[in-house]
Amino acid sequence: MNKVENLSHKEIDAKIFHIKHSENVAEAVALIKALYSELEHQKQKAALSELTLGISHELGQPITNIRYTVQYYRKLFEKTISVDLVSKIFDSILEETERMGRLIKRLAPLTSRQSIIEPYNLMNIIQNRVKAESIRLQNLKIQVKISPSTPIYIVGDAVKFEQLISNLLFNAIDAISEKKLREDNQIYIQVKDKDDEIKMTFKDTGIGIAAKDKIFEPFFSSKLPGKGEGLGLFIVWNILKMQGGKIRLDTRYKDGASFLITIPKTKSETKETL
Amino acid sequence: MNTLLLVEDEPKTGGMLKQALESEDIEVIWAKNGKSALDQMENGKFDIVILDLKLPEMSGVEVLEGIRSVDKYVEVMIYSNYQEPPVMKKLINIGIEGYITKGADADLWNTVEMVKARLN
Repeated sequence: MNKVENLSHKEIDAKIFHIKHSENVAEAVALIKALYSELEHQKQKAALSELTLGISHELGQPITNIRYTVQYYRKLFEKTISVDLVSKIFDSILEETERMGRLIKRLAPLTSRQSIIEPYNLMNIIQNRVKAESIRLQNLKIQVKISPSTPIYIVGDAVKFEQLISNLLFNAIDAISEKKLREDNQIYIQVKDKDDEIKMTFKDTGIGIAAKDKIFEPFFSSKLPGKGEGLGLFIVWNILKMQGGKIRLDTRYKDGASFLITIPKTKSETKETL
Repeated sequence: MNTLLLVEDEPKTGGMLKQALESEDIEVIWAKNGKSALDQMENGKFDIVILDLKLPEMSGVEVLEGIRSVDKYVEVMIYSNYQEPPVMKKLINIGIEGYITKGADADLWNTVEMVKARLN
């Protein structure tokens, strides 16, 4: 998400110079905070521009297909028309509209404003999501280790958290299925309940990620062609962003992919859980 | 008969355009990714190439560079539904002869006519 950076390296250097030479710690902290928020804002702007470009491309494909199909057969029907063929064309057009619908549904977690904020047991959601994928997990001989087994409560949007877990889980399963030698396949989901935040490690023993700097960009996918539309991690990144959380790839982990996730607890939630 | 190399990964788009071009007596070889397009370039001689910009694995710019290293003079028409000015500038510098839009302005028979005009 570093394509549309408004702040040039020179400007950033100048700000860092300022920070280094600031007269007291409080001033330095304020400058760092301002720089951080400016960079975050730019990152979001860049993500939005990538997303818009991606959507226009993704929608352009079915629109092209519909237009081509209609234009081709309109000419053909000047000579001859058959009911079978008309029915085939209708099917083809409906298929393309479904494709557009799938894209809209896939983006729903980012656009939906109706979220229900309530306390939920996040360990329960993780376990249920894993259970729902049990057939694929068994077929690929993947062992999923979830800890702790005791409940952890947080106040937030449970549906969005479920989508976050689903996306990470699908990626982990895909990454393992792309491995040639599938031995000792594991997915670890470890949650730690800290005072003011939840820390989660989500790692797998899949093929790992080569293009580390691009993985949170919309419509970027390192999966095999046709296997991923490149929205999973972008959606995860946004779901976390909405609640002040963070996700990053642990680059030290070499046996697959490992994500480190932080979700802040809100004040109201501290009251709830206490 | 003219021979055209169509580089397009989207099955339906490629299929419809191939049929339409063939109905106008243009022979179409269809490559569904950049690597296969470059393999075709090595092994065949084409009058014109229609190149989609968004392809799996290799980008349109990379494929165009590859095409130009094999054949400096073949006509290349870019085929895309969005145009980023910096990308277009780069493509023009490497050398392209035309641009065909897809998406909301996609016009199958107009595209066929454009190709025929370049071939004549």
